[in-house]
Amino acid sequence: MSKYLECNTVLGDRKFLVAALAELGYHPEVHPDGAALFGYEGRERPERAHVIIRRKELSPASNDIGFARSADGRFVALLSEYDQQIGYDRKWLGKVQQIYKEKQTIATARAKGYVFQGRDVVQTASGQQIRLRFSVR
Amino acid sequence: MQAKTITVVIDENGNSTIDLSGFHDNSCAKVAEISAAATASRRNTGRLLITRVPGVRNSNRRAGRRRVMLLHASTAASRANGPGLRAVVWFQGCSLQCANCFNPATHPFEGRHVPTSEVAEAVFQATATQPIDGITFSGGEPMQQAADLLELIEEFRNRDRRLSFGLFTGYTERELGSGRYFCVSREAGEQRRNLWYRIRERLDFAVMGRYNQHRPASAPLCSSGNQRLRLFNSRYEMRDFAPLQMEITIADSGLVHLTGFPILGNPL
Repeated sequence: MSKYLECNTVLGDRKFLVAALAELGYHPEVHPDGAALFGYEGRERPERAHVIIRRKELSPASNDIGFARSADGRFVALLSEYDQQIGYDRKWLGKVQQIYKEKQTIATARAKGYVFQGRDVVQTASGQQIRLRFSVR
Repeated sequence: MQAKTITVVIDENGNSTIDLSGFHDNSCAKVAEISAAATASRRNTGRLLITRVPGVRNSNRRAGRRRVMLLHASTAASRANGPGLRAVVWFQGCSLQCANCFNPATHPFEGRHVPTSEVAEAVFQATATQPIDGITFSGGEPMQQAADLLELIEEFRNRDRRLSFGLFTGYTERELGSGRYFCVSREAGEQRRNLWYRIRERLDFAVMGRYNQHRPASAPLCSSGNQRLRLFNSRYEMRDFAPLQMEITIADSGLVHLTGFPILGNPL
């Protein structure tokens, strides 16, 4: 049985989290009251989460990936040791957070009156960056 | 012995600058102490305020033969800080105390002291795969590290003569031209005036004046209505400057960096 590790995130808004996961090609389940995660043998695990990617979408030996709402309102990512070894690691979580932030920022900026002007993807020595431009009026 | 005078200039918005003529035989820390104790400005509210320069140090020191500057941050590519694609260098430290400044984290004179040559090198490495049109200096208050700013410009010019240079400063051209600005290094008023003229010769444009939260901006690159965009040569025309923009960069860790003019409120 693969151990689950908790990773703190900047994710707080379920709507943008679900949208970010969908953009990455997943079909996340939403459970407002939380639901159990399942391990690679199909056994129910004690860990519960509010947004869940089921293991069938990951790999044959994967465990479910969960995002559980913590006391501070942010989601904690529940990633099994096995899945972290096959690429569902902090870097993957960073990508989720990047897309989440992009969606959240565009929505918030538009709500404040900024006009979205464009998006660039920039490769830098420290990784890929997304650059959003807004005009003020 | 030169007389030691402290001149306080207060503009129509109630902003003040100090001139510390004759204090150049003291360390900067000492000058800051003196200015903190002795400088008082009467703002248009009628209240007497003490101007403080907390933790100011002499950033005009040298590491070996290299000049070091107090650096806040830099970015390799921005379209919100002047014409074309530009690198931006933010100086750390500003004593102007504009109310509701967008960038308060840049105010303390404390942080990373970095040789100007290293700042230039880092920017050039970061822009190696993405050619830029120029460099914009912001802060903080770059003119409060004027000698370092001049040397940094020279570092960039020595590497690429085609680059253009822009500056955001809270000082007016009149203040800078008369040497009436605070500098963490030891230059006297006349030296400060000369420093500004040498910097201005190398600049293509500058946005000048304090941020005034009560005067909404409309002109390109200006945060408030009293600020002025000055062109110092024929390289650019006003139409080259895009309307106010905000730019948000999101790293693949989810870390977010905002630059430009978030005058409708912080969207993060």
